[in-house]
Amino acid sequence: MNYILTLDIGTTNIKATIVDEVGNIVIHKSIKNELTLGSDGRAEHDIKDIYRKCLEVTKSVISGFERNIVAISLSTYLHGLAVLGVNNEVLNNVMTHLDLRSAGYEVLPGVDEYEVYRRTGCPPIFVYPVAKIRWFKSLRSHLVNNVSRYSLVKDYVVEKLIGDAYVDFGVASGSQLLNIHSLKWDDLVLSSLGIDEGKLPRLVEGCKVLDYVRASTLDELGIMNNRVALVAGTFDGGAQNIGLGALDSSIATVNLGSTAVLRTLTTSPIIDKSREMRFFTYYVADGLRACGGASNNGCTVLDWLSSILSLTPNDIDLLIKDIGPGSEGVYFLPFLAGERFPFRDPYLRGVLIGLQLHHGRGHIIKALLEGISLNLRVIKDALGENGINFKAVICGGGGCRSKMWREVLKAVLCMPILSSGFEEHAANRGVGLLALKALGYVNDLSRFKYDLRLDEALMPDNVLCDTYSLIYSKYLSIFKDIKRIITNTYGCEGR
Amino acid sequence: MESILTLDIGTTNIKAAVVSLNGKTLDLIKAKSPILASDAGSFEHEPRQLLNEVINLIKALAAKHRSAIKAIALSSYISNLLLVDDRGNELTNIITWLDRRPVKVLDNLSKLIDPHELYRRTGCPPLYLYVPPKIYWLSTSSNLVSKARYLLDAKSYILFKLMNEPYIDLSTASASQLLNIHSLKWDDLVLSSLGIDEGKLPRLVEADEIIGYIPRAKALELGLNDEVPIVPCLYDGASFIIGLGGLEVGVGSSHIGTSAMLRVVSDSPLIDLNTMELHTYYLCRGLWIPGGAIGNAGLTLDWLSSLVGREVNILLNNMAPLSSSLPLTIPILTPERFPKLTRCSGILSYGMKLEDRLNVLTTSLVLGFLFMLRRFSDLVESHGIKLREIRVGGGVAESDNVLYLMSNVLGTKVLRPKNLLEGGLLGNALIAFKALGYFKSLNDAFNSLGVEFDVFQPKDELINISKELYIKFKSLLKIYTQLCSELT
Repeated sequence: MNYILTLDIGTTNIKATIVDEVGNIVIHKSIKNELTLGSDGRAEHDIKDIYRKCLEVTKSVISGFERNIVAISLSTYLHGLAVLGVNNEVLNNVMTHLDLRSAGYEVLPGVDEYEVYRRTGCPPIFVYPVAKIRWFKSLRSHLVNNVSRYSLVKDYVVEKLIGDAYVDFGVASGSQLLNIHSLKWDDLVLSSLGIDEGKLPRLVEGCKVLDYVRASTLDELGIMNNRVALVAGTFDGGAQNIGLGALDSSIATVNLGSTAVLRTLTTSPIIDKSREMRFFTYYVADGLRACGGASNNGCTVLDWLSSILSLTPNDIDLLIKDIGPGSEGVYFLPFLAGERFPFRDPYLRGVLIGLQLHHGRGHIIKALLEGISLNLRVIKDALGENGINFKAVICGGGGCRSKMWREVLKAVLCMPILSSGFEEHAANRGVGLLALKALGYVNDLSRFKYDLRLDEALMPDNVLCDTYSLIYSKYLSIFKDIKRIITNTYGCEGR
Repeated sequence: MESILTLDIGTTNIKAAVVSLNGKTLDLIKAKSPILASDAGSFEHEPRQLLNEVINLIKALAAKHRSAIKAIALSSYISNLLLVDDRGNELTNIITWLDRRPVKVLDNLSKLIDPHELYRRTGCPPLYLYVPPKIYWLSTSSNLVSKARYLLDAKSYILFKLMNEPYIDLSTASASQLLNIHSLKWDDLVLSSLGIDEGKLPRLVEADEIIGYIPRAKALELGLNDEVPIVPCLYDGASFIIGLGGLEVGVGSSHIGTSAMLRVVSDSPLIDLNTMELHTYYLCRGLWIPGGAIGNAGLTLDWLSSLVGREVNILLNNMAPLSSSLPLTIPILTPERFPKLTRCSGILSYGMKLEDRLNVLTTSLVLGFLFMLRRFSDLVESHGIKLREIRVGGGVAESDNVLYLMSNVLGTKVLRPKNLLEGGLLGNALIAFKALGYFKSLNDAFNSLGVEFDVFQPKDELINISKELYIKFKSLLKIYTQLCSELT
């Protein structure tokens, strides 16, 4: 039996797994990816350390498979940007999606925001590398002449493995630099940024063999097969959809991790017709695109509330099990971390409204789970307006372990919430499957597709769906009113 | 030493104390006020039971201090009504200010008396808690009002039972919405609109006068000396002000307990027709006390405390510093007495960030109710009275952190007396000593106690931060008012 080594570089962990020829994970290990935070808003990864950790975590899974590894396939997070000089001297370490320093740099001067979105699939948000490059050029202007490459992290790892800096279309599409239609670096964005294509990594399809890993690197990794293919893979979110088997737009994935993400795969890029730009379109691999939205406010806010209320995760289902839909009039707009999708405003803040004397902790918690779920419904409806209508959701991430939260989500989205069994290491499995296709073990990814059979027991209760539709419109109306305070009182910059 | 038997009838407790001329409390006892509440919104006291509790408290104190007691002084909660017939029998329970049943007649009452005119005359905004809505509600649902010989309240009822004739002090009367706040007489328009004859109301008296004596037989029954004089004093909140001293124009007083009030001494009645948010009551001897009260102060802290499982004093000991990034909270768990907010309830907290801990939320909540109180000092100042200082008491005011915040929110120094008997009981005693001629004025009476204060001084930079937040708070309140009508 042959095996694929997969690496998933995430914000908090780097995970290595070994995937067999039929797409099962046979071993997995993870290692902490240290984030450096600063009072100036920095949230950085050390790019050299990332590679060292890739080696380290690989060694922890490789034993017994040294001779049977036929490919390495990579998943990395989106939106990271490092700036490298000659000989890969680090001019600026990886600014992750949590880095706040690029806030205020998200709009390219003189270019219509919607046009940028239409081209790249990325709304004007400061997490994108475009804003980070603008920040760098403005605040580190003395270093601009030394730049040899703006790195999206993946290309740094690829370069270590094969000697050339390539990035897959998937990771590239999450930078706002890629034209999502032509899959080339976008000339309009590049010219308004004032950078040359030569300063960016080379582009490659993530579902094909890019090259073979250098012998010296194989030694470092402890791999004893001298012909190991490198498959560039894609970004973690897109890889999750593939790993979960949510391979077309009949089914979406929801990830309730520190952020709350809803994402579905399509075969062509879909751009929001509304200028509100309520969702993204990224490339994934093998012709697939991911459309959806990532809310900043997922389990981070639940963790915050749990610490305020001194709760353990086990308390949560118990406290909310008898509380009706709408939390008896309590609404929680969970924008504690500002927001990206479906509403775009870094200065949004948390709002709790309607609390009365008879309400307890359970009402606040339930209102929060409802708030996070209602935001996902906004994304779902926006996709629906653009012709993407999925029928079910596969739920992954820590939040999906809560039975009550799954129930809320089922009623709010009014559709079945499913498990595929691959939730635990979905991104690793996803890039593993891409490698299987690239190497010809399978002709088509569709054999890994989730078998969607919607029997009655999975369907949501219609009455409950209607109740939540009413709650949804109230929620939106509260949001509008709150939004007005921000613009009227706090000034247009929101503070 | 010469002492006063002082009584305070509160909504939940009746307190009684014996206070000597040097301000020492010789004895302090209390009893529960007998509450009758129902889902229909009623919130009543049973008058006979209330009277019995008062009598028992007097008897208990008289048994120990009979010879020292030189007068009986009495304060009570405001805005309550009970009817008695010509033989003094109770036709109703005491309908308290918390009773919500009259809410439904407010609209019809406003057709009978123009709300602005009602407010202009009485100083009391058109709210259900006052007495005219109670009378109107009773007249439209029964014939009890026409059968009644007297329309009384808790205090005049007790005085009636002790002295066989009903009296009420101008201060308590001014908080009923039946008194003309300018002429200090029962208001003819209000009375005629309600179809009430003035003869059915108790006799109006100043607070610091002896109005009579307990008849001999009654005094003996109570265990008191012959002919103990009775001093009517004020309503509870006004007696509290006397107990804090500082009866000069521009001096404010604030009691912060479960609910909170803020009032400022003025030499004329202030009426704010635009907002009708200023409640102006009469104090005594040509002084008024415009201001107001909020229902949600310590109440919200108790609620937060039960929510997070920490004691209130621990919450208050761990407050975050005042900063412009604090979230803002509209702290309304039970409806407030601002005309625009009477139908709103539900806390609104805006601006929470991931880095905010419990200390930030506590501060935001406290800041919220202090901003609600600031509304009253703003209104008073808009009528030309500069707030010079504010004197405070009550459970929540024991927290230094709250008072520092308060001084910066109000932009004025805050004074808290050290080791002082609960304001109302002391205030009553001082008024009674003055009535008996021991002091020329209430100020002299207070000053004789030599009270020391803890002083909390505001800082300019913190005043500025608080101003900035207050502007945001006011617009949040506007949105809140709108939202609550959409949500309910």
